[in-house]
Amino acid sequence: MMTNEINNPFSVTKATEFTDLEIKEYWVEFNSKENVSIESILNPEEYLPKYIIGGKGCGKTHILRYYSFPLQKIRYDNDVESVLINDKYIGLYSVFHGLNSSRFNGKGVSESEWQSVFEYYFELYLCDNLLLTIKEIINSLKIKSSTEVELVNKILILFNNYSEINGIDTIDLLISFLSDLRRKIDFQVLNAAFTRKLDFEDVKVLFTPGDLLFGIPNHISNSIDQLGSVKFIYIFDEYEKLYEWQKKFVNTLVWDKKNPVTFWIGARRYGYTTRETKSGQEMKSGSEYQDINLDVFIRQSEDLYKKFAEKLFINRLIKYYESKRLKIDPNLIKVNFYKKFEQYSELKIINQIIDKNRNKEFKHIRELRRKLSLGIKSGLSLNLSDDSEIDNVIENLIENTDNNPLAQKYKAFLFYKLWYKAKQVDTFKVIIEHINTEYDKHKKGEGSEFNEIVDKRKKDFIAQLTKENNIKNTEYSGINEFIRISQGNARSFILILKKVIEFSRIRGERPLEEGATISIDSQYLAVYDTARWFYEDVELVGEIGKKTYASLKRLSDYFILERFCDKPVETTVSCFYIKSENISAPVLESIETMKIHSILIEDDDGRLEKNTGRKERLFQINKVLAPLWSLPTFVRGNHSFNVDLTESIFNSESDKLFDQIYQQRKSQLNAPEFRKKLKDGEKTLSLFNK
Amino acid sequence: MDYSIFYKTSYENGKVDCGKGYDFFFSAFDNCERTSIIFENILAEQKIWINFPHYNTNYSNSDVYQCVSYKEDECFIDLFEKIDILSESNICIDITGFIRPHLIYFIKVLSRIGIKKIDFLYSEPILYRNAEDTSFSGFIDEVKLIEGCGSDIVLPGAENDILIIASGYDDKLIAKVSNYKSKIKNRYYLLGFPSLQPDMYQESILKMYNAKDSIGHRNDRFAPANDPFITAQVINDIVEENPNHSNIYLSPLSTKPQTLGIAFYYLWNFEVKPVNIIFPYSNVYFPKTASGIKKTWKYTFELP
Repeated sequence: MMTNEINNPFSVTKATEFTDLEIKEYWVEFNSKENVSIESILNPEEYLPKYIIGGKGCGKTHILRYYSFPLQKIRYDNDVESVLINDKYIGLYSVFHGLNSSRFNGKGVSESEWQSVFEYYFELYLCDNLLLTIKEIINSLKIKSSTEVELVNKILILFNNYSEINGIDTIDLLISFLSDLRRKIDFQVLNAAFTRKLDFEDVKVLFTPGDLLFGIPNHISNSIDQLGSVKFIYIFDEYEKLYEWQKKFVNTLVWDKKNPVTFWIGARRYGYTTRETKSGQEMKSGSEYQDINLDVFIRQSEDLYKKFAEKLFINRLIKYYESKRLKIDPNLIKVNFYKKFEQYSELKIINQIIDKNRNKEFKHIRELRRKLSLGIKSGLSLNLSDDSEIDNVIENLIENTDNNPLAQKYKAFLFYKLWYKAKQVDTFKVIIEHINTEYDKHKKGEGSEFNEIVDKRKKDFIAQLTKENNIKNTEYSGINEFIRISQGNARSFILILKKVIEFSRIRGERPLEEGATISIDSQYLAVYDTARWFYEDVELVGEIGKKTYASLKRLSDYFILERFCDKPVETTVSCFYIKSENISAPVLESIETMKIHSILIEDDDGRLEKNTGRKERLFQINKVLAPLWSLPTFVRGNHSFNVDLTESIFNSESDKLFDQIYQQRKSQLNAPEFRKKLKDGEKTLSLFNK
Repeated sequence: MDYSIFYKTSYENGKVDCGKGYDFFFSAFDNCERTSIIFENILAEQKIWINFPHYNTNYSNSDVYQCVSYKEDECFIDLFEKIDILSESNICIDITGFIRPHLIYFIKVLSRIGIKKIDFLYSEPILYRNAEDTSFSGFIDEVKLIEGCGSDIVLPGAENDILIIASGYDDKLIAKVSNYKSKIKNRYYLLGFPSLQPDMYQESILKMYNAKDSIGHRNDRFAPANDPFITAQVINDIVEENPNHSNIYLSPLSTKPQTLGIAFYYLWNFEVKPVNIIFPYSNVYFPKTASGIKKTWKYTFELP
């Protein structure tokens, strides 16, 4: 039980910052469909190797550490014998960052030399952890020293120069021996930066690859009864830190594994780039290894993720209150925490806007005025011929809206829509009459065009109003929304809560005290700041990084254009379909990069195109990014990207094409330019049947 | 060892006292008046401009050594073949325009030659062009060990590793290094205080704020932005506070004098401690990020 007082229960957002004990204390099980849990998917009972893949913050390190030997001991109160009897495996967790794998490269040394040295070093490096763990087990089980001597001798026989090795008869001495071999390599690698060569004697490989990694566990199994039926699981974290050829070597070990050994390999999705072994052969998924994609696993059910996220915050709050010597029922913690968040209120936003514009006309009305005037100059404002007529149009249009900017937005939208579609014989007078009739019906609760507008477009118009009036778009608020926008990513969710508490405290709200309320402002700042972090923290480097950010900029610009215009076509657009068979390879690659970095989330179902029956792929910008650009998070409207648009957004060399398409679309969506095309080819029949 | 006792002095308007003059003077060509004034004023048998490809300048002259490779270990191969540096050579380096990993590698080469004493010059700018938004480098290509600046002592258990980042203006660099070594729990951020200019400390704090979510839990420490010796001393103090440490990773992302401090600590310790220097590499650096020359510091290094 932890006793230190906790300041912010959500302050730790990375498993790295947890001690082993905290890894256990903060563990929350994720139950998937059909009650499949993390444990049942990893299944330590089987030998099938696993590649555990996931984006940053998906919980990978927490899971991998949870199954490591130090955690096994904690779960069994340090009773090693119970670990072996019950778990029947030993989790040997290693992080690859310490290898500093980039050392084994360049310096005028050939690739084949590096390959051989790295493979040799890799095995020596991992055996350190293996032998330290075995030493601890031997001590705990009080194994006879003669058995240890015998075991060490069997291990030494694995070395080519066995006959020259003297005086090593304990695990401790064996560890020192391996450490000396490693140090010789470290010295050579370090000096190669100056000497531009490796000294053969120091880096000469003394055993066949795999001999130690598989051979030592085999000898242990045969020498120590209690370990006879125990599996050795090498748990690797940060596979992505390796070069491609180094990954192939690790894959070869996985492919070539020998009982009682198996592997669990944790990798970021962007780093899981090859299934090849050194011989060039691809490993077979299912029979030779299993992929576990944590992002997909967690995202597959919003409902289960919600339950998981709730357990996460309840667990943290229990620890928080315990650290303050308060024992509170978990259900009560949950209910109270939900209640703390000030609810999103469109009325509050509307009042803010009214307050801000007390002595001036609303910006959307000023814009309408400007656009009508522009239209008059270019002959696009139907029957209007002079600016003096604009007042009358505006006055009639905002009739019955009681100075409510949102109501005016609804009417202005229909006005723009009808202006766009109007025939040359139509007049604004007729259009406004139609609008006002429909609006009256809507206010009376009768069937009206406005019913659908209000139902489908309210969020978009509130977003427009907040942007025009420079106030916060607080549509992303409340625990349920935080869970939704974190899209299956535990770190994003915890980070939002961390920031909520921080911003709330800065505002003097005392968020965790009984009866306190967390303001909508604090919530907004938290989601915005989390979005900024997610955007800036994408682990992209080099040219690919630059290109990906450029594509994301163009994509977000396009969605902003669709939402913040006079005549939005789709409602709450944040998704797009593409027809992948017509898209160029670099563009597909760019989309794939954005997908593996979770910038884009693909809906696996996609859809079939009406005419051709061909599959279209559906993508959404990660919801956690939405607050950056005031984009919607609900999957409602979507856009079918044609080939040109797709290429212009995702191809780094299509800046000009994108500018063209963007400008063209801007004209189609905004007054008065949207009239230009119609004016040329339109018929003269009225839009309104009289 | 007390690193703070080493010798440093400063000069106004680039008027550096060179004593009897140096055998070799090296400076990096970055198209800044800070470096060109010093280059003019310095007294040396051989004065060499090192022109790094990262700056993408077209400057060429008989006193220019053109680096062809971006890599620090390949960059100077021809240079050391052309000039005859001996262990007793009297050397001065203006570090103002140097690329950090190249500077550290360069010093390590000189140390391996057997040079025991080097004078380093650093000219403080009056200001950076865009205050806290000054960008010194382009998009990061890779975070890795600076060539030849690891240790031959590598401890496999990474649980007690220490990461010490000398943090400057570029929050993206701080975030990249923090992410690269994200599995290190013990993270220290060395801030330049007092800073080179009064407002620069506040500006670097603003930048740290931007990177705070990539960093997670952190410990802040302070060392004067213009003092390599106190920097080395503070690093030493951090290491001593963590007697059970495993590998130590240092990352020089702040001022050049603090970079020197990291190099200084490294050179005195890499043979006995698992100390390594890591850096976020970019092939693009922006020359002329600063304007004016306020004060020139001279640091005299004594090497093991």
